[in-house]
Order: sequence, then C-alpha cells, then structure tokens
Amino acid sequence: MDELHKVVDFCIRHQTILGCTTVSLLTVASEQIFSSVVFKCPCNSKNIIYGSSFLLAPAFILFLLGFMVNPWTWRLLTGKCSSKKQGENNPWGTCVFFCQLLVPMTAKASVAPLTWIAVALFGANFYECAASGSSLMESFFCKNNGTDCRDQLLKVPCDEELSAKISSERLSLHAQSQLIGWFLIASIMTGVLISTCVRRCCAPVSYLQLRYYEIYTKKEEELFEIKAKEHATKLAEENTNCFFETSDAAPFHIPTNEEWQKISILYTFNPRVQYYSKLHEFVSTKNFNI
Amino acid sequence: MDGLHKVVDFCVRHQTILGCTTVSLLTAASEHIFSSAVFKCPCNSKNIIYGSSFLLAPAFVLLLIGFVVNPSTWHLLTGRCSSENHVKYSPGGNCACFCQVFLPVTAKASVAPLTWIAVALLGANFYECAASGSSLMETFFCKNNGTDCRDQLLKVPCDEELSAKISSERLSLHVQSQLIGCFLIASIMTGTLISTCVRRCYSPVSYLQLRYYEIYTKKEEELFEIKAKEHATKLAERNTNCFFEATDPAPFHIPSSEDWQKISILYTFNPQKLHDNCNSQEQYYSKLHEFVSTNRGSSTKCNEESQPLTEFQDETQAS
Repeated sequence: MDELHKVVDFCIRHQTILGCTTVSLLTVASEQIFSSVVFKCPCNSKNIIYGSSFLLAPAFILFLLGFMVNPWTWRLLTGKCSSKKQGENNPWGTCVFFCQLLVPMTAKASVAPLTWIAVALFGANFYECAASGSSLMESFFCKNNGTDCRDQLLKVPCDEELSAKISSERLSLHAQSQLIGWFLIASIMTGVLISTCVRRCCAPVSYLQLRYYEIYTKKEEELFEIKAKEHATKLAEENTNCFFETSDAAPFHIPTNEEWQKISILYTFNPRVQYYSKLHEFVSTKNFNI
Repeated sequence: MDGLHKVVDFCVRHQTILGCTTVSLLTAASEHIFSSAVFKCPCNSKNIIYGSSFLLAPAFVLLLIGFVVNPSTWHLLTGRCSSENHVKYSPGGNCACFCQVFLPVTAKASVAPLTWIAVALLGANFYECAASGSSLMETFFCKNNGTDCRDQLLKVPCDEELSAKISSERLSLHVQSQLIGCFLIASIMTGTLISTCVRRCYSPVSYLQLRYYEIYTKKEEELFEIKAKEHATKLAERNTNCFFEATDPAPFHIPSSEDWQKISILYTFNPQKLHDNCNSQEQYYSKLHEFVSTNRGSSTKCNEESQPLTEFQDETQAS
C-alpha cells in the first residue's frame, strides 16, 4: 500500500509530463489505427483533399477538445456577456488580461493537435497522399515531363515501385514528410523553450515566490472544491431532513451572489499587492465592508 | 487505499470526458462488428434501403435509449398531462423552462447516435451501399453513360476494381463517405464549442457559483435518495410491525402530496429571480431548498428588518 502511495505521489508530482506523454501515446495509437484501417488514398485528382482532411481535421478537432476540457476556458467566459455589470470595466485592461490568460490556454490546447500532425508526418501516409496531388510537387518532380508524369505521381501513394521511379535523385514524398515532421518537432520545442525563458526572465517576482504562488493556486482550487462539496452536502442534508421530518431549517450561512462574483473575477498575480488570489483579497478586506 | 481513492477522484472529476470516450469506443467496436459480421450489401436496386437502414436505424435506437436512460426526461414528463396539475403550470414560463431542460437532455442523448453515424461514415461500407443506389450518385457518376453504368454502379459495393473504374477522376463513394464523416465530426465539435461558449458567456452567475450549484444539485439528489430509502424503510417497518402485532401505529410524519408537488417542479437556477421573501439576500439552489427555507411554502418567517426586493436589486446594480 505504501509502494502504491509512492507511485501515485510520483505521478502527481510529474503530472504535466505524464499527461503530455499519455496524450502523445494515445495520438500515436490512433494515428496507427486510422492509417491502417480507415485511410485509403484514392490515387486520383482528389488526393490533395483526402490527404489534407485526414491530416488537418483531427488536429482541428483535438484543438477544440483541448479548449473544452480546460476549466480555465469556462472560468474566462462564464458571465462575460451577461448584462449585469461586474465592477472593473476597463476595456484595455480587460483585453491585456484576456491575452495573458488566452495564450497559455491556447498553448495547452495545442499539444494534442501538434502531436497528431507530427506523428502523422512521421507515418507519411497522409502527407504522401496529399502532396502527390499538389501542383507544387508536380512542378518539383515533373518539371519537363508532361502529363504522363502527373498521372504517375497521382498513383504514387498506391504503388511503392512507382515512388522510387519518380523520385530518383530527389527527396521522395515519404522522406519529405518525415523531414518536415522532425523540423516541426524541433521548432516547436525550441519555440516553447524560448517563450518560457522570455516569460520567466520578464517575471516581476522571484523564482521562489512564483513557485509559492503556483502551489497556493493549486491548493486553493483543491480545497475550495472540497469545502464546496462539504458545504453543499450539509445544506442538502439539512434540506432533505427538514422535508421528511417537519423540522424548521436551522440557520445556515450561504454566500450571497455578490460574494460569489467578487471571488470569481479572474486574477493574475501582482507583487505590489500581496494577495495570492481574489479569495485571499476578499477574505482580507471583508471586515472593512461591515 | 489512498492511491486508489485518488484514481477514483480523478475519474469522477473527468467523468464527462471519460463517459463520452467510453461511448465512442463502444460505438466504434459495434460498428466494426456489424460491418464485418452482419452487413452484406445486396448490390441491386434495394441498396439504398438496406444501406440507409444500417446507417440510420441504430442511430435512432440509440437516440431513444439516450432519452429513456436519462432521469431528467421522466422528471420533465411525469404528471404533465394530469388534470390536477393544469393550474400550476403557466404556459409561457413553462415553455421556456421546458426548452432550458429539454435541450441539454437532447444533446446528451445525441452523443451515441452521432458517434454511430460518424464512425459508420468513416468505415464507409454503409454509405457506399446506400449511395450506389441513389439517383443523385447516378447523375454524378453516370451523366452520359446509360443504363450499363447504372447497373455497374449498383455492383460497386461488392467489387473494388469496379469502384476504381467508375470513379476514375471523381471522388469515389468510399472517399465521399469518409470526407462527410470528417466534416460531420468537425462541425459537431465546432457547434458544441460555440453553443457552450455562448451559454456560459450569457450565464448570469459567476463560474464558481455555477460550479457550486452543480455540486449542490448532485449532492442533493444523492442525499434525497438515501433519505427517501431510510424514511420508506422506517415507514414500512412501522406498518408491518403494526400489522403482525396488532398495535396502533406510532405517529410518523409523512410529507403530503402537495409538499411532494412543490418540490418536484422543475427548477432552473436563476439568480435574477431572488424570491419575494423577507430574507431577500438568499439565493435558492433548488425547489427543495426554497420549500424548506420558506417554511414549507407558507412564508411565515418574516421579521421587521426585511428589505424590499427592489431596494436590494438597485444596490446590486450600483455596486
């Protein structure tokens, strides 16, 4: 039991990496399934439509899913269009703030689609099918060779010997696909590293305080969830008991709508004000409002 | 035990996603089984009927099952047509409330059928069979070619070489099917995301309060079920004991039919509708909560320090 506890702790500590790895493995598995069971290049002038759909449509769907499963998307959006004014209404500040949150969310949502594209490029089937119908590849392979070459190029995904014949000294479609895949992965990793470096470099607080802020945010979310469940359970228990037993409801404090609004406003850490969240600020300033 | 608890917590937190994934995987598996073991395209003029039935009938069945297994359907329907209840339901508000509950129920019930259709389109067998018998595809492939082409088209699902021969430069039925499947999935996801964004954007409450409301609703359902079982057990025990021991029944409170009616009315969370009661700061999270807080619907709990509802609303808008 202790061993299991240690394993689970390890998983929780490295959950970002493990999460990304799981997503990647699932993506590889689905690409293999799609590629072998579902995908059949038509080998005619519709190659480019067919190949591009299989390459890009799943990436688009995964991108949308990435937004939908991220609770911050809903935190950002809930109540924004509601007619009730919510206090702080500086449009420019809201815009900057929105961007500050939207960029990390987009980055997180992009992991799965980019993995799909990279894995699909390594597999090479989809790219080979799409590129064999593109005019760019036609000019690359068939510069002086006429329509015969074009028709042969369209049939390349269905016939391996034809592929060797057409490409001869140039990069075959298969090789191109895999090289593009490598380049994509390398450039994404470089981009991620550079952007994280710049972000950390320009952070207004020290490393340890930033770390503390991240830990605090996570703990507050967890404890809020736990406490909300406890409170909801007690309220529900009291209501059901009152219904079945004709007793009057005991006084029970329920936060007002205004209080909920105050703590739900999105918050980015500002070192000038030593509050780590809206809840922290609300609780610290509450006494002044009585 | 702690580790297992954490795994279970993870599953419960992401249960919507896990549920949808499980449904999708099961649907994909059954489509594969149907497609390989059961489906055999007749390759004659009945292609369109046969193919369409395999494509649409399971989807229809799954839609009906989706409605039947959702308890909200029965909550919505029970007692609607009863003559005793006509006075309680105002038609206008009734309609809006009905839509507000009916749409999520329909959306939830549509997951399995749409998954079936999408997977079946990606598999391409059913569509290929149905489309080969349709007059639209006949015009698409056989514009100038006469009845010979039409007969060949009907045999395409049974013969792969014929498919390549007929389609030549056009999109073959197989490819059409898969492209339609991809398009269907992409448009459903986009539609879902946009509608959820719009719904959340126009939500009158904040994210955390909405989350609390969802938690409360779930807990209330669970605890109500538990308490109802306890209460019913005690009542049944009392009745059977009295029967066999010829004793008088002890006093035991049983909620009246009116009480049950009051708490069974469908409720949608609306923070604008702060009730017309004396403790005007209070927000109700369910009909049961409202019933219990207003002292069983009689509103006798009033004191003189109460604020009228309009003053509170002005205060909220000014802040």
